[in-house]
Amino acid sequence: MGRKEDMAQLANKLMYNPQQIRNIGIAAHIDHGKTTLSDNLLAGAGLMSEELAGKQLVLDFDEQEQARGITINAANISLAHKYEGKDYLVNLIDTPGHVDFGGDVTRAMRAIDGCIIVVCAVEGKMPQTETVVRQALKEGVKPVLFINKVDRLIKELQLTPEQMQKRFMKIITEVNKLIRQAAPKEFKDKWTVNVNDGSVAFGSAYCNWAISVPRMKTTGITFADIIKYTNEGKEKELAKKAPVHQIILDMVIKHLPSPLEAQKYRIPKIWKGDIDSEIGKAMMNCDPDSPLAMIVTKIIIDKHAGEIATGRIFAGKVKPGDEVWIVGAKTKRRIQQVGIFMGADRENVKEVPAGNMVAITGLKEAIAGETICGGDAPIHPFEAIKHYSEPVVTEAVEPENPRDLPKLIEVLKQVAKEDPTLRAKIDEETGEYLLSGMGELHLEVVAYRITHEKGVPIKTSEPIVVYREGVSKPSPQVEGKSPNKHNKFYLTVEPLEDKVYEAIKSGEIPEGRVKSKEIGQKLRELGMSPDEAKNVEDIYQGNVYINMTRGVVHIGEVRELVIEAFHNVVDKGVLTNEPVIKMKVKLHDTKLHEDAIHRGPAQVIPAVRNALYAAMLLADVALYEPVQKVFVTAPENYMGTVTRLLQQKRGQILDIKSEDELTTVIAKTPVAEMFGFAGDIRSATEGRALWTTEQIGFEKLPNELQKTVMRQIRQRKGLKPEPPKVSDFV
Amino acid sequence: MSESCMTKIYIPKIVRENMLYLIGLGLKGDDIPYSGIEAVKKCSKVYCETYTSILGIEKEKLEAILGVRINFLKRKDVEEKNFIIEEAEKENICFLVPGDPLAATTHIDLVLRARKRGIDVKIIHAASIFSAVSETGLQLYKFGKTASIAYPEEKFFPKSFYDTIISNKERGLHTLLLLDIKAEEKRYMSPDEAFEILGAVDKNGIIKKIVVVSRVGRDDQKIIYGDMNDLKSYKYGDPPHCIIIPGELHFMEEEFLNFFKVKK
Ligand SMILES: Nc1nc2c(ncn2[C@@H]2O[C@H](COP(=O)(O)OP(=O)(O)OP(=O)(O)O)[C@@H](O)[C@H]2O)c(=O)[nH]1
Ligand SMILES: [Mg+2]
Repeated sequence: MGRKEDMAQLANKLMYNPQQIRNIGIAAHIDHGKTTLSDNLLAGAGLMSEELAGKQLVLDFDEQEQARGITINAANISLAHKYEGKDYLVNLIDTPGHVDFGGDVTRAMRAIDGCIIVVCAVEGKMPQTETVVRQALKEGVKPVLFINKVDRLIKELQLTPEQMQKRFMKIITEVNKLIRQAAPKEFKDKWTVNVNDGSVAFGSAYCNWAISVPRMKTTGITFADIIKYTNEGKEKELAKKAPVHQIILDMVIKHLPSPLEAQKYRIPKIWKGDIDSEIGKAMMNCDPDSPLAMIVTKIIIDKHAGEIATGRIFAGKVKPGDEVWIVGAKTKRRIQQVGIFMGADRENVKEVPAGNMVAITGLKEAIAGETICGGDAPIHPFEAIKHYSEPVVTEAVEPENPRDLPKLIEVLKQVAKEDPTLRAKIDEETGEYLLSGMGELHLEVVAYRITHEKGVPIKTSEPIVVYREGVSKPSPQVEGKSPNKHNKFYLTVEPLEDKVYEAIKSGEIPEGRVKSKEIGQKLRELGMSPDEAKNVEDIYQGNVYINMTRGVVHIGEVRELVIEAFHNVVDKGVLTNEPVIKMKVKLHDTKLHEDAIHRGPAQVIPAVRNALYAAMLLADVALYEPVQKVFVTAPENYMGTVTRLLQQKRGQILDIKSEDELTTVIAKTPVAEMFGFAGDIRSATEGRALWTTEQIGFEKLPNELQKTVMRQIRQRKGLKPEPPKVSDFV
Repeated sequence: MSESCMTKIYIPKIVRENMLYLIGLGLKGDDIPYSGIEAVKKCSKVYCETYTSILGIEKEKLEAILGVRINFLKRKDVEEKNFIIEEAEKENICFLVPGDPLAATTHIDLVLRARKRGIDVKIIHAASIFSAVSETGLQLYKFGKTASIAYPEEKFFPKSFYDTIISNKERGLHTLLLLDIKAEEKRYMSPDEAFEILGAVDKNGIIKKIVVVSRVGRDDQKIIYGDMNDLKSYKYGDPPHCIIIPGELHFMEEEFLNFFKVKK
């Protein structure tokens, strides 16, 4: 394809000119038309046939994506676009809309500076719309808005021009409200979208046209014209006058920032190292002539090329043969191949400079979120990419052929590396291989991939819910004695303040060792007592460890060991060995042996762990289950059926909204009750209902179910049915 | 002794039926005091630990010398289990410890547990490193607090021994440093390993002269004195070793130490 080679040449030139680069993403609620839009952009750039644009979904190249009609993997593409006489390089990521694959959206946001938020004109703002807008703003990614599927407003709903405009305004107002809520302070007003300045476009990606208010003025196209063209089946003509790729890419170039501009405000947000250091300055200025600094945002395992790390370069250059640091893994590796995306394919190039996205092979230890740098020493790592939802569903997997077991273990490692929201682990008690993910679909897709792409046929168990353990009230002080009896630790546990927990979950308060005073200050503002707030030493999986001791000699030497014991307990709760959430652990006092040899790991860890287990039992530890919000939209006459079905599933109806003969029921239901919901709702509504879910965290399992579920989990894990008693630990 | 004196002495003829003996084996492992040998004969069970220090002789040889079967115990058996105490409630039990029994502070807990149950405990002392270091010529009066150097682990790198050295040094005192023994893993810290840790902790190079005491009390004991750098290339041989960081030296101490000077 000649066009492609021309473009490769152009891209090779443009990538050195950051003013003429845009790194952007397309994000939206499921099915709102992201991939259809991406196709159009590819076609516009001559990288696929215009006939097929919007119909082929080339970016959904995965067999399962084609079969299911949804995007599963975020896909990178690059293309060139001419705007006001100048060429621009647009690096674009098409992201998935289904909640189960939300992790891909989170990671993509780190690589981009701007984002096209697509909203379906018929459905309007949906739960995932909110999520992706929030994620974008949190990463300092500037949004523009595309209202898609306008053809359906005309053909199906037969709206008048006035009704259409009213609907657009409603969507714009809702999106702007979200932007004002979540945007960084300095951008609250600057980043709202506006019909008049052209940061909003509307159209039909499927019919290949789009328009914006400024464009209506220059082209003279009116709403009435659009309705006419559509009703007369002359969309092609409309698409000639106002091609979607042109309108959208013009909007992107004009309203979304270049890396040069964006890195100035994004770097301080995503990198907490010294901004005035050499590398800090280089990143702020998108300087290609500095040592390398980049972040990996995705790992793809390619049959031929092996592990490919894609990511965003903030300073320096990536060149084959260069030795670079993999900061988190604390190793050095030599870069093998370096590629950029051309259309949907990778093209190897000689080097890629700052301000671009890049695909690299040879970085064996790299995982998503990893910092890669050049220079003599590893730099301060980028802020962790925080995934908002946690895996809530688990399946046990086993190879159909037992001889495949070693292969399966290898493959499980691979899939977990490609998809950080997936957890693969072996249950030590039962020897089962467990795969945990965001939902049923997530696991189904992974199981299919293991069987068909990785070539290891597997069987999976029925899905099971992942529970959590949490304490219900403060415990009395518990004394933990070391096995040699020469050291004592005095500990309590209690529920963590709601607000503190929320702040940790949202990433507002980072997890890990507490190093800055700032965090203490924040904790105080969230309602923690000043005495506790200033002594918080570690935050782990939504739990907090506070060292309240005073003047204990040698406390520094056992600090890490106490924290290790705290982690052990959080990873495996006392009741069912499920992870612990929302617990505050306080060390009040400790009596240590004078000699270091008598207070090593073998003494300190069991002493603290046992005390914490006893304290949890005394604090009425209980099971928590994952819950989700369910949004069901169906014709009004099905409302009774839908509400009844949700209530059968221990659902709690939160809200009911009606619009255009369609009613949406919003309910809160336990994940455990939602297995097989797809089938249930289909038969209950004769397939007339649309539904989506959104994870909202963990809630205490009702009292009447506590004992049964606890026994079930223990049994499944090969533990004896009764949980341990306080006397087993002290 | 006069007649009248003799008649006044009253020897109670109580045969003790249950007693816990902690008996030192001294530096070599067979330096058990005579009274210890007598005590062993009265006991229905003989235990021995080899995790706080190294037994200088073969286990079989010790059994032969004492003429009894000995149960060798792991740390867990003593510290986390209670059978020694339970048995000592009914019978005479002895517990053999290399060196001096309570010089290994951990055994205080065993004595405490026995006392709490009303069991009589008898300690039979023997020589330990704490007095044997006097062979270096350094005066026991002038030793400050003792410390151990532990094997560093990923999350455990105690450096408080260094504070001990510094505060002893400030007062002109010597510091005895015991080197980690992980008997169950068969790891015994060598002087070279200790130097490496010292080097890492002593960033300002305050520690200069060192005395290395190897296998003290045994036939092949060795004492070497010199600058840390010169000591690094020396072959010290089998454990146990300990090292001393001298404080201010009295002229007699200095003269004595010079006998042990390492050859460059
Ligand atoms: N009528 C109409 N249908 C559209 C339009 N854009 C997309 N569609 C259809 O909507 C469905 C979903 O489109 P996709 O492009 O796959 O949507 P997506 O947002 O990429 O979906 P996910 O990636 O799975 O979240 C497909 O059947 C498209 O043909 C449009 O402008 N008009
Ligand atoms: Mg898609």
